[in-house]
Amino acid sequence: MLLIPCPYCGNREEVEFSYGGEAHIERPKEPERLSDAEWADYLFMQTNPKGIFLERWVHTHGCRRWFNAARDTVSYQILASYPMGITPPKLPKTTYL
Amino acid sequence: MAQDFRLPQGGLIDRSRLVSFTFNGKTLNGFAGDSLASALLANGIHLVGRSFKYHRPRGIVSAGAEEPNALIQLGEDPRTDPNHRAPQIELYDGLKAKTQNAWPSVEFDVGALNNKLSRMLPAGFYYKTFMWPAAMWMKYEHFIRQAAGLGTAPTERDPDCYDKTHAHCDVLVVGAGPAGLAAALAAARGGARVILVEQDHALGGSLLSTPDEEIDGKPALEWVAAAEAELAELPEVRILKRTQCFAYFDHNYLGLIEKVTDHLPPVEKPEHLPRQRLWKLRTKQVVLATGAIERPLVFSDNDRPGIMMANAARTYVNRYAVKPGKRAVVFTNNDGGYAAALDLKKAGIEVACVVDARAAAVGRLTDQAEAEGLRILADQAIIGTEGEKRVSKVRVAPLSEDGTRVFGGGETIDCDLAVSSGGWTPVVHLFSQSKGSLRWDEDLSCYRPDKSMQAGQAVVGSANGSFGLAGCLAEGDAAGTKAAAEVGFKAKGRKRKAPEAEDYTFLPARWIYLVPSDKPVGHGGKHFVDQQNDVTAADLKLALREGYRSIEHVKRYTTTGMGTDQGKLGNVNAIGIVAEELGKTLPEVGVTTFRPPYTPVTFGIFAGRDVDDLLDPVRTTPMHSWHERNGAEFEDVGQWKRAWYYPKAGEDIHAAVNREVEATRRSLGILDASTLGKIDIQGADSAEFLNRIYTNAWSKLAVGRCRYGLMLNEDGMVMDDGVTSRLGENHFIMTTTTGNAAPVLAHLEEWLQTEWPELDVYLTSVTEEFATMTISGPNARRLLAEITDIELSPNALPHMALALGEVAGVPARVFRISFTGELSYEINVPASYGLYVWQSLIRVGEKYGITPYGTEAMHVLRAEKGFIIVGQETDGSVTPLDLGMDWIVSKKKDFIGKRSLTRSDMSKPDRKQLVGLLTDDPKSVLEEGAALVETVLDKPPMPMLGHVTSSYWSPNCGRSIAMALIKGGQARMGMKVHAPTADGRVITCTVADPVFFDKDGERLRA
Amino acid sequence: MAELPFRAMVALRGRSDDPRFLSAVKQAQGPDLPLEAGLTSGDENLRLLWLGPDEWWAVARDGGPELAAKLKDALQGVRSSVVDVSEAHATIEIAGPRSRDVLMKGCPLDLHSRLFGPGQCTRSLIAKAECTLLQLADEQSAEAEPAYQLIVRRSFAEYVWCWLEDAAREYGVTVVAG
Repeated sequence: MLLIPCPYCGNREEVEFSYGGEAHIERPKEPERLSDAEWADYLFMQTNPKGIFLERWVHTHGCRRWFNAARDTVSYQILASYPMGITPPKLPKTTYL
Repeated sequence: MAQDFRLPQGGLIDRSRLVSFTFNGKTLNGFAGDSLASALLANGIHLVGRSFKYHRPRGIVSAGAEEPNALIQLGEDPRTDPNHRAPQIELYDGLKAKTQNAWPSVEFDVGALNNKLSRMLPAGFYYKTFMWPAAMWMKYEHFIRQAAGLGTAPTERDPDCYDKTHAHCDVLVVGAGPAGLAAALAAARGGARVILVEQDHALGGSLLSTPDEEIDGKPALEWVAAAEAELAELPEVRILKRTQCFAYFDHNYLGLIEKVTDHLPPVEKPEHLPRQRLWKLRTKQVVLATGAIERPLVFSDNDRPGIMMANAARTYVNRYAVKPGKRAVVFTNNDGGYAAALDLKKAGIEVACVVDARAAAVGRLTDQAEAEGLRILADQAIIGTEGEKRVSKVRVAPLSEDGTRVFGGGETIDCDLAVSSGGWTPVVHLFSQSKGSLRWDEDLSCYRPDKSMQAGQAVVGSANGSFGLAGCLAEGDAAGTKAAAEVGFKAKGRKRKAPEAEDYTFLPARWIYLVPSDKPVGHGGKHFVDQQNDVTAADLKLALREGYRSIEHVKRYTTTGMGTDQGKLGNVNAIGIVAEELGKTLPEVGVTTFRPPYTPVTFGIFAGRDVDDLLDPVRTTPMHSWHERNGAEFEDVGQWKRAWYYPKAGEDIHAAVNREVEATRRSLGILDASTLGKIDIQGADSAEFLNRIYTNAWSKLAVGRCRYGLMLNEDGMVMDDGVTSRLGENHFIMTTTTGNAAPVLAHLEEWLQTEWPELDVYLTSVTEEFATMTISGPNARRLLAEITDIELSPNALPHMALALGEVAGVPARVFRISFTGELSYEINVPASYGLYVWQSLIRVGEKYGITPYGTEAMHVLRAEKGFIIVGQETDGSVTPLDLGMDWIVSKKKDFIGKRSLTRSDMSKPDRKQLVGLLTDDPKSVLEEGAALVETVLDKPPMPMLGHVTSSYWSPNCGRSIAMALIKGGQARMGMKVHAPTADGRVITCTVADPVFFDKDGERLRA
Repeated sequence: MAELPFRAMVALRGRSDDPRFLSAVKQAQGPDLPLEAGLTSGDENLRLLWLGPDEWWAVARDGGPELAAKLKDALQGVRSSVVDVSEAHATIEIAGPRSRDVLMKGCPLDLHSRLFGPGQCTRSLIAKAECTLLQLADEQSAEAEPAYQLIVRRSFAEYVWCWLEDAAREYGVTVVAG
């Protein structure tokens, strides 16, 4: 059970949130110009790093806002969260306490 | 019965309160303050169980959570509860305890035959013997479980209630020994919210068993009492006694079990209190002061009743004033073991000798023992024991220089108590659960906390490998001060000094994980490493000979450390023995994973109050009471209760549904559609938003008109459908299916917020703002006209249009839309007026024979028209093209899922497509879900074409109708397919258009 | 515990950085829109609740349709949305020295008065239902004991009510008229 820093509401319990997968995957402006393989890559492929991962969350049972978070997939530490549409802050590759 | 082994004075028991309890049916006495284990020992009872595999007689080994043998079944059905550890059971009047693992009795145990056959029960015995044939496993398992004695589950419903609560604090301190108390005091003095958790019913930890310790120049227990009093006074401090911190999850989220009434006599348990409470605790800072567990010495036949941990013997003597024996032998490899010898002697127990594995018996306590004239056998070891149900003799012999052999057959010493001390193991379980890493300490021969994976975490005292009292207090004080400061709380005034005490540890020591005997290991005696799971040193060696190398594999193969005690006593010895055998060091072998729970936990605690009516929310519509009064049967749709059908006297579901379906087509039906999702959409870009969300175009929809829409996921698969209506230029109302109300809103919000934040669109769920009722049938207009001011003529309110007005005097939105294919009006009124308007419609509609119909009739009516239901005709792998709904897919604009529809796979001719099915025998109704084949073979498997998605008896068509998804379905019109049934019949059908009734739609446009 | 029936609730959306939006709302309602997370403004006659960076509720004793109409009028031509949701919700009040302990059994939020004091609000969970929670008083305030309002969706009201009653059993609970 994570404690997730909602950029709008502050630290809240994981049960209030829903997960949205990898962040910063932009929807192609002109999907019809993509090959099937490129479209499938956009649709299904996400990275799976050991270390810092930028991911999407939505504060479902709170302010209902989507936002991005940087979480270390090893320590599960969340280093930052920031509103949609913002460039991610500078972060180390991994964090162990 | 007299407590013959009770010391005449001393101990932390209340001699004025005699407590009566039963053990295996026998009535015994103890005192308030006793544990079950201490009360049994006071009555001279050591034999408390039989071992798991060999059914060897077993006694009380420890005085705490680590107890491997004294596993107790408490209470009687329905309150019976297994896996309690006797040393942790607080004695109360009327307590009923039973031995968990003995049949038919602990004194005479049939399974003990296993001991004689032990050569046939090596490590991995169950794996090897019962592996094959697989079909027999169920029988084997039954036999094994019967013999295994893992306790009994109650057969009746649990009469107790359990509570769950969230909690938050600034600083959590786990363990109220000297380190934990010092930490709690330091943290709490600055005003931080502190929770102090203690598994025992008294604070003090090890100090409860060491009456001679002093803190700040006073008896230690006086300091404990003062600390407790000070903490109790602070408003932000909560002390949770009888509470086990059993789990430690990410971001300092911990699970605690508080035993609220378990310690009370049944007659005194307050009705209103839960039996136990689960605390789901989130804290900013954690101080783990979980103490340490003494490690046994693994010598031959080390499991007889009367053989226990040295420190446990101290606890029984000092805390409970119990003599665990009359003549004791102390076996130690460290100076600390002499504390037991000294305390036993002081209590009047004859100490036959101290067997000291160290070549040089030196140290603070060793010297004291020598001065008191105790017989010390240095550089020697216990090499064997005797005694049937209680140890009666030990054999002692000198050790070789490397500690792997002994010289001679040994000296035999009479005793009824043998205690051992092999050093100490910090309780790192919670730290390790929290993903903290461990490091091996060569000097202390134990794993200590190393790197923490959680922010704001400290491990202090003996849990951290600091075994001296002064060190415990100093570490606790420092950690508590730091934790409070980290979260912004600092004690005012001058910094108080940390409590002071003497500082000494159990060192020096000589580390031996496997004590040799005069015979090779595995011959003539058993060296038990894990007493609960009956794993011996020979088993570990066998596993290594058979090729297991990883300690995790050795653990699983031998089951060492896999009992309910999770190897609290035995794990380090097991790793040590494996390391020696492999010629590696302990850190090279590694350590097994610690997982929650630290001690067994009742299931009730996880259920909490989520039982019976509170198991899950039951959502009902504003008209629910009418449906109930009118005999409706209900169907669960998510958490909703929807009226399924309304049987009249003598009607079964088929008769009722047929009647409802016929009446609706003939005259008039009424349906409660309140559960359909409704989303209010406002903003200048609403139409553009709908364009992107739905497959069809929305810009040109006129105000006051409605349109059916299909929504796809980005993968092109149908996600939901429904009617959306334009209430104003920048105002729409969308309906969703009942089950998808929340997912659709989430889907829309996601796209709006993450991809199209520039759009001026706001979404608000109004599902429950309105009660929704659909009147459907040729007389729908006549009925509505009687109680509305809305102009209903086909020109004023044509099909797919809406109007605002009053119905039965209540403000209403009326939509002329139809899911039945009949002339239909969907009436939306403020929810609290729903029942009134519904009843008005029923009253006025009486002359048309208005018939309430449920979801089942609705399904038949829509199937007659070939209308799909998302989730029935679709399953997340169906596109609009598969449904034959190309007409609703825009070629011009982009929408969610559009690109996926042009993937090459989407145009494959063998995609499953929606078709109608007409059975050759019109009376035969297909099963929903039935598999369809082109050619019937003698027996399965047969190549499948697809499956039936919907199937009903249609009273209006006078025959059965069905829909199905089959490969290349649209090209199979008129062809035969077959549905082989489970009972060997074959139902043959013809592929047909899925619209079965009123193909031109004249009725709904009436 | 009490049910507060027939209360008015209007969902209000708009941009907090749009001065026209803010002034139009103030003109229509009186109190300023709270712009910080979890804050409220106004009083029991009309309270404005911050529920998200672009989402507020206006809550009043009664008169949902009128309140919605007034806001809609004021916000003509301003990027916004006004929706009457009074009928979709029920309000439960729970007050007394142990009311926080009862809520903590089902609500994952830290309700300590340092963090969730009088005049604060948020959306969260109570047991298995979503709720909008409002703190109205605390021991520091004149009213002497904590009091909360829980606004839940209509169809969850019975579940939440029964759940709270059960959770409050160990402390003793009295049902009073709202």
